[in-house]
Amino acid sequence: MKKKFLIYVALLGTVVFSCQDLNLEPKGMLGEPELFGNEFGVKKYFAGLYNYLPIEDFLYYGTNSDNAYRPDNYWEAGKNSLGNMSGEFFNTWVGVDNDGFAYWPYDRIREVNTFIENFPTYRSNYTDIEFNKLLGEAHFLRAFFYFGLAKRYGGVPIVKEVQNPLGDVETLNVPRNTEYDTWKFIYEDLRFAIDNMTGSNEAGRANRYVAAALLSRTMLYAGSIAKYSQYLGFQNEAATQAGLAGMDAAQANEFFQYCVDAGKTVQEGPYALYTRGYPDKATNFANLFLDASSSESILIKDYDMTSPGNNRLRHSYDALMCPQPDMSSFVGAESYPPLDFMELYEMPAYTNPNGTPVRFNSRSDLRNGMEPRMRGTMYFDGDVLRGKTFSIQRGIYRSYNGLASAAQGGSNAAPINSGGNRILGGRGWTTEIAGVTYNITGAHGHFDDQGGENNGWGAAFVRKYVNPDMATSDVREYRSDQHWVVFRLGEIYLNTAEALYELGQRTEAFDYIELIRDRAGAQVVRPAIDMALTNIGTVNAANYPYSVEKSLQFIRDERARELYGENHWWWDLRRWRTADQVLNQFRHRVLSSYYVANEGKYIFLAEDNRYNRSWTASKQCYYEPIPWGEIGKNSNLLPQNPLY
Amino acid sequence: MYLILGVTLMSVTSCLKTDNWDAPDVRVHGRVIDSYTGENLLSSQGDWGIRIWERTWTETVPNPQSLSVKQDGSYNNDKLFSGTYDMLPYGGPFWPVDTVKGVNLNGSTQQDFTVTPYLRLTDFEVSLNGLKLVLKCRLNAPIRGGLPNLVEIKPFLSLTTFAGATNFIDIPEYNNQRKQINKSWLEEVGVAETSGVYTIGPLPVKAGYTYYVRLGANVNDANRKYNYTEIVKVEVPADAQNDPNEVPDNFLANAQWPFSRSEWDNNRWGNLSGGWVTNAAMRTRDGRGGYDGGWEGPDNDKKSLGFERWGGGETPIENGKLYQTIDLPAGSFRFTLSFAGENPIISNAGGDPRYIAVAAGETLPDIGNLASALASAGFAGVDNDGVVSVDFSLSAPTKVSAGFVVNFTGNEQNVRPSWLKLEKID
Repeated sequence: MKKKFLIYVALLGTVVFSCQDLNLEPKGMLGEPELFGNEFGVKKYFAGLYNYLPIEDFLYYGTNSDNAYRPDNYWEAGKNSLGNMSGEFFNTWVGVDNDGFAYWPYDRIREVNTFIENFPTYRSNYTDIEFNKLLGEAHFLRAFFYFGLAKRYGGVPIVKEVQNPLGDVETLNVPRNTEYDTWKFIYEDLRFAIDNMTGSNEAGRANRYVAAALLSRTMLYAGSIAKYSQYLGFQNEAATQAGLAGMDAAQANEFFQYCVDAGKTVQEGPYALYTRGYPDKATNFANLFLDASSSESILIKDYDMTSPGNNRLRHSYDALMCPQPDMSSFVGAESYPPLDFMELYEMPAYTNPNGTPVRFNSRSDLRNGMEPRMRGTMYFDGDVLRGKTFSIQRGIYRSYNGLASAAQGGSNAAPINSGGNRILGGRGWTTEIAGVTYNITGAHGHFDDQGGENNGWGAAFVRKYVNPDMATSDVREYRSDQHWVVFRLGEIYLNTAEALYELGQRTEAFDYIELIRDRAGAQVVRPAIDMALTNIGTVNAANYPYSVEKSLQFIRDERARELYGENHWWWDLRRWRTADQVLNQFRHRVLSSYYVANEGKYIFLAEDNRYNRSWTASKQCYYEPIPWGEIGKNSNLLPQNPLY
Repeated sequence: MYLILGVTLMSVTSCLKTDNWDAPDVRVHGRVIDSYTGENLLSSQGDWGIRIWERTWTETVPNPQSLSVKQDGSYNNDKLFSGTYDMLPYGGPFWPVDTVKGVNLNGSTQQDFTVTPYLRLTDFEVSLNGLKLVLKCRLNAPIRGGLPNLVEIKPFLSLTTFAGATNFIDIPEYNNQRKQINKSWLEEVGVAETSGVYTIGPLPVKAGYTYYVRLGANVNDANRKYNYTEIVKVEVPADAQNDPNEVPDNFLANAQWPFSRSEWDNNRWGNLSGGWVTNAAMRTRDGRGGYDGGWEGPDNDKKSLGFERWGGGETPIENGKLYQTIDLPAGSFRFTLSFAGENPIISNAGGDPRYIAVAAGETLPDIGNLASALASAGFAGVDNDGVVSVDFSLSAPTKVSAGFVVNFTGNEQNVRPSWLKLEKID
């Protein structure tokens, strides 16, 4: 009996006391009061969202269908970069990918909406300025996610509220909004952000000027999409007829004006074109991307070498842009500038007016008279990086009597390239001519016996964003941490110039072009305005389906020059609706240098790329397909985008 | 015990069959018919397809599948599930057609479609001269209202019987020979239904190879697929070679903008390279003449053939001559001067006497003696898209000179053409 009693007591004790502490808040889990109730909590909450912003930077894996923004930071992003995919770089890995990768960040948008909806509950914890600033920042973040959607899909569902997952199915199956409404929604969110945020500056974080910079870019996109979509021939496509893919040309000027206004707001901020490296305008241009305190950077995305392990706070850019073993200790360079882009800049003639190749005393003389910005963007033979000198040569001609065209674009079938007159080779190969031994190639290429990896393909390597201060032994995968410049004043000037020109304000547009070209060190900083019409583009002599004034084409080319390698080109081609013509069998040419043995001189020849690779985009690229999996869940997303 | 038995039973029975659904075995096939010819539409293998939607299940909107159309314009698929389908030829080079609704597929079904092509390529001709292949065709567009802009005419060569945009020898020597148009039918052809003859080539081919060749032309609709000619088989003889005495297209060198120069004043004026000769009267710019780089300085060299007397203080050009001397075989020839075409500073200003002329020998006669020339024609007053030509015949191989003779004594006289051509026409 007594024993039984003891058991009852023990049981009672267990039942009564064991559950007492279960209602405690778990330690280490942050709830809304902690996150939304003070600015540090909000910062933590936003940090997660910033991490997911659709910024196409070093890690962007433009062809990957699983996760193009690569949270795992896979090193091969350097092989599959947007520049490689769109033909801005020459490489041998990827071709144009029209299909996209099913970007659909409504989970992140929901997190922003949660904040916008619930943050006012904690109104009393903040001053007016601080409260408005954070609410504005949330609108900036939401606009950025919608920009990532709109530039891929056109019109998408605008979800402004936090949806209840148990709600009515019909309300959860949100249909697509029109493309016009989507861009307008981005405009409204960013206007809200500009009106509510301050100019206070924290690296890597938005303020009102950053919001204005995003507004400048988005509205330029919207304006050109509105203006040029009529030339796509999509009139019979269901999505276009429903206003989901394409806008009315009459709506273009509204957006161009927003772009100009946004640019003015940015100019009120504390930014200036980077000139700290003057008078050497070439190095200055290269440094503008590396200087952590650059006056030109409006928003940067930071990386940090001290972060533990192989996580996404490091990248591999240097290891994949520089030749191994002299300047990289990893696989070596994966991307090279094609001649088609070199030609956009002012550079010395390598062919005489009578058609013969110019004779150079040294390969490095190609740099003489070259636009400083070009030298700041690319490395050439004779330039020094990490204590080593670039050395790029494709081969040797025993003699070269004839026109440059006699080489027939480097074809082996050309008589001048036959019968042992042209000598090609691999790394370190030599040949003896008249008793003298010559190296056939440069130390960094071009090696005829090797493929596209670590092989100087042409006459240049990419310099933009390469950090010269790393020791070669340190240049490995996941060892780079230079920041990515998301917005810089140079881009904003170009946005404004293009929008002004589209609005017919030609002189004002060239006021901005002049600023850009002066800093670039161009010989002609302000070309005369040429209103003659042309439908022929510069790169690949593209045959546009519409005509533009030659000066507008000049402004477009100025973007290609200034923003080369910054992942703008592909999006620019898309919004101009010229991608399917510029990338119409776009067969890169490369500039190859040769030693002419009987003269002791060097020549440069424009050659077709050795692999005869070409890039072709179809009209499908202008709109990516709404992810089929999402359509399976929500058939209100139909009609699908054109051509799918 | 029962538990173990149950688990065992489940694990044994659940894997007995790999799939309890029969493999799809329904066939649909048919032709895509060109409404103009009644024959199958000339296509390239797998270039576009028939879209089908399975409508038997009505709860959700189905995603389309696509059945590829073959080179001969037919299609065939025998791995479909039975059911009711909507079918639509989509994305090909023809005017949009209506969806055929409610096609019941069961067993084997033939479903033909009739489409109206945007373009027809007619009078296709293939000529092989040595190792050079020349292709010709005309474009025909019975429906021109609403026709999207013409994009291009492109040669497709293949070493297999499959030739077209999905199977072709993808090299610059061929692709660069495409004729890029990018104009509306009205701008390019006019009101006529059929264009003039387009000549594509010459395309270099290899001795001993067999090629399958065709031309394709497209318009700037959403898909930009090509309408094709039929495929022609070309067997290049193993001993074929180019004729070393072949007649060039143009006997003149450096005769098209951009012109190249030899020496110049490093600013604007200079001499032309490539066989052009001037007499003293033509060399009014510091002893040079014939090349005009334009007035925007050396960085913006316009690369034009050009000569002028502009201001009153300049030396007049009297019987100024600019010409080339060439050895011609016997035959009929045409000498053409064109202001139509490319040159950023095209001009033919002023009304002073100016002639193109062809004469036997190593120079041209003065204007007063032009009757002694083989042929000549004045071109004062010809505007900036005008073309002037003269024809002449030679009964025996002859050394001739061809070019300009002008008297510029007034002000604001100049000539800056786009191109010149001396061709054998018979």
